[in-house]
Amino acid sequence: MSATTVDKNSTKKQFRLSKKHVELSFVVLLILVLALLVVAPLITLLCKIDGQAWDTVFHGGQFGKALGNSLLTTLTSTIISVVLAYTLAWAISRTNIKCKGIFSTLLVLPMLIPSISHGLGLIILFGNNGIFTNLFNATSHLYGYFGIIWGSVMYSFPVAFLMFVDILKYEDATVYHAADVLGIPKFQQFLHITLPFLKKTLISVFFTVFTLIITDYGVPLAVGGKVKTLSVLLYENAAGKLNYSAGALIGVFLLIPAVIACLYDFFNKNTEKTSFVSQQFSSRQSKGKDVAGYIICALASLLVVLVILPFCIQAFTVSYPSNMSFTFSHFSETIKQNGLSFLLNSVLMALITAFVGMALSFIVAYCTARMKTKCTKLLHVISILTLSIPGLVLGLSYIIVFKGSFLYGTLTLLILANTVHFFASPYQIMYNALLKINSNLESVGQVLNIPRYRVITDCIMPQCKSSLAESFSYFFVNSMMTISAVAFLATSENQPLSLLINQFESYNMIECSAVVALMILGVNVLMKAIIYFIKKGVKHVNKKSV
Amino acid sequence: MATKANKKIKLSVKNLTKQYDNENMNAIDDVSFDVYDGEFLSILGPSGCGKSTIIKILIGLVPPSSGQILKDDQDITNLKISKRGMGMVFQNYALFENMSVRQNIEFALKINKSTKATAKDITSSLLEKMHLQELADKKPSLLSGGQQQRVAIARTLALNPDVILFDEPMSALDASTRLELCREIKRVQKEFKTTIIYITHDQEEAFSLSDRIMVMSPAKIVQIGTPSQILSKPANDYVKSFVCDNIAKKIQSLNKIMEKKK
Repeated sequence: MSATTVDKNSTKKQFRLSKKHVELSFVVLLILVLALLVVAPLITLLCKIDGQAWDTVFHGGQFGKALGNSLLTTLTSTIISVVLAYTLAWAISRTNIKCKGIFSTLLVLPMLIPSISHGLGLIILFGNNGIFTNLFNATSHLYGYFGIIWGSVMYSFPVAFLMFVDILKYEDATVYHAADVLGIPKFQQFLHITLPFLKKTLISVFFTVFTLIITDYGVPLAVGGKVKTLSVLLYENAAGKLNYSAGALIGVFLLIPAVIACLYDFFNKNTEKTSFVSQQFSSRQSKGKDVAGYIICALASLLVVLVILPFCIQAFTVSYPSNMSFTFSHFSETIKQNGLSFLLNSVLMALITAFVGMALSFIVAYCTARMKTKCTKLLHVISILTLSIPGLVLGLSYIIVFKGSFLYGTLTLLILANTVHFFASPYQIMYNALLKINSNLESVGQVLNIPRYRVITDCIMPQCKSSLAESFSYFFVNSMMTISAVAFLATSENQPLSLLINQFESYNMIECSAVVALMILGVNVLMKAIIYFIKKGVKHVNKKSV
Repeated sequence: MATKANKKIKLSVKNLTKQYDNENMNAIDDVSFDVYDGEFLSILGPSGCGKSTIIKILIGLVPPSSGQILKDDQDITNLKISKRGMGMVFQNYALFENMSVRQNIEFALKINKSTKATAKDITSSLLEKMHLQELADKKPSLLSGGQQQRVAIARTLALNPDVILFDEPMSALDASTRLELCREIKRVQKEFKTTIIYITHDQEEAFSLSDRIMVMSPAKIVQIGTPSQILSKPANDYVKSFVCDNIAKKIQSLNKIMEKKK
């Protein structure tokens, strides 16, 4: 009887099954879109490598040295960056120092300007004609390994700092209390409690910072002098000599650490145990710890300000260091050089990227977090993998695919490249936020006859407001300051402002470079402030309704 | 449909089987039972025995592999969820966290094309009946577990279902709140004259609430009967050990709580 009944209702059953198929088809469509935007260009890039590229790269005499330089500077910078970031995160999370908000804001400021600006800041301070070089009448040793390492540390430590601050929030205090009671010395506690707790994050931070530094060409281009790194070699080959196939071959080497990092991170997260905090840290009064905290935070903040402050000085002085009178002439000069239209390009590009990226990351994360189809996992893997593609490599693969097409030279191409380049982090923010929302909401919607789109717009999205704002800001800020993916794709019609820093610097117009860096910093700080007040407003409304 | 002892059959489940795609075993295997109109039927069994699968199939969230479901003699096996006239209270209530209590109840009414005035009237009436007037403008996160459950029931009642399914609604509550809510659910059943199917792994809840209890072992029904029938004549050793031995102790502790309450 049962079989007959099922047969009788087969048409209706097919209708209901087709709903499942719609979900699957949607996920497959998203996989295809991401594959087209991410995987296809990379494959094209690999196909571009030919025997001549092999000869140019391996027999050109520069590759081996550049590889060595890259490894040496990246490893050194990564170690310094990670140690510095952990020390600062410890000072912010585990001491009773005041003004933690101000210190934290200052410490993440370097994330709001292009990497090349850090090199520029260092040149203003310690370059051949730098403030301190002149002050002490010394010879500059900035250009080369020293400059690359310093600039890379400045540019990368805020990312590690934020990751450490985040993980330290979830450390349980009771185990330290127990250790204190058992009379275990602090150093032993660090070795046997703190380090094992931090192990996975530490590896993750290490890989992230390593990838960030090895793929960056901004700092080594500005202060590298005669020391060439792989990323600079790629930039010179692809952007300077237009030898895309040689660039592609170097790009493959830059992809290796990033892919290892991404895969490690992916599998690491899958095996992560969920732990809960039975007691949060409340730092006990300790004058020694606080003094150490103040010194560490003040020194690091000073270092950050010291690198950023010269932009302001240079941008507003007639001719540094000979004539320190106040002037707006560098702003006028920058505007004359089309700075304003490039700024508009940048803001427009960043705004559209932020909207498109936020929407795409929400849609993809919704599918992976809340739809159970056979292809969901694949979509998740592809989304995370976008993290592993260095901007330079992505830009290069896009120029190979899109040069000559109707998209080349348009803002759309830059928006597309930026959306893909910065996709992974906002995606993860959205994915985590969506996982935390009650998994039965869609079923409730079905039972109460509420269409799914209304469940999403009326119930789920309002609960993700903060994460949506966060991913919008991430796309915007990064699109404003990126110089990697867009370096190959920009033409005079769609050039973003950030690329002007490099151009001005090459014409020795350091003051105008400073103006550009300042403009980018200003727009990004403004955006961060808007997002901060929006998030505060959301919290306030929630509290009010309480 | 034929009745047993003059009771009208509300739901009739025939030979229901479900095998999930990635599993070799059936989640439920050839399960058949009837539910009478206005009855409170508890499905009692250990975790993973297929209780939730049964109600998910009844409401339409999960399609059966085979079998048939009749409601008021109509075949609803493959009917759209919203056409089944059933409501469901989920395990963790799944309230809309961004909406107030009033909005939680009103939302589905508005979507289902009630006029604004009707939606408002129904909501106000439910707020009153569920003693939620004072909490109407609060967000769910500020309510206690018991209050959240009352909101979830009110939200379900808004669409006027004649069968309500409860999926382990008290698993996260403490003993005294559970007792209070047991009374609340019984009151709702009487006042709204609904048929209730109630999933639980807790013998105490099943015995204090139900007209009849359906005891399950993995994938199978072991016994269906009134609480006294199950206690006096357990069908086999499984029922005896899982239900009867435990319930005696639980009834004792329940009595103690009630005495304390008084």
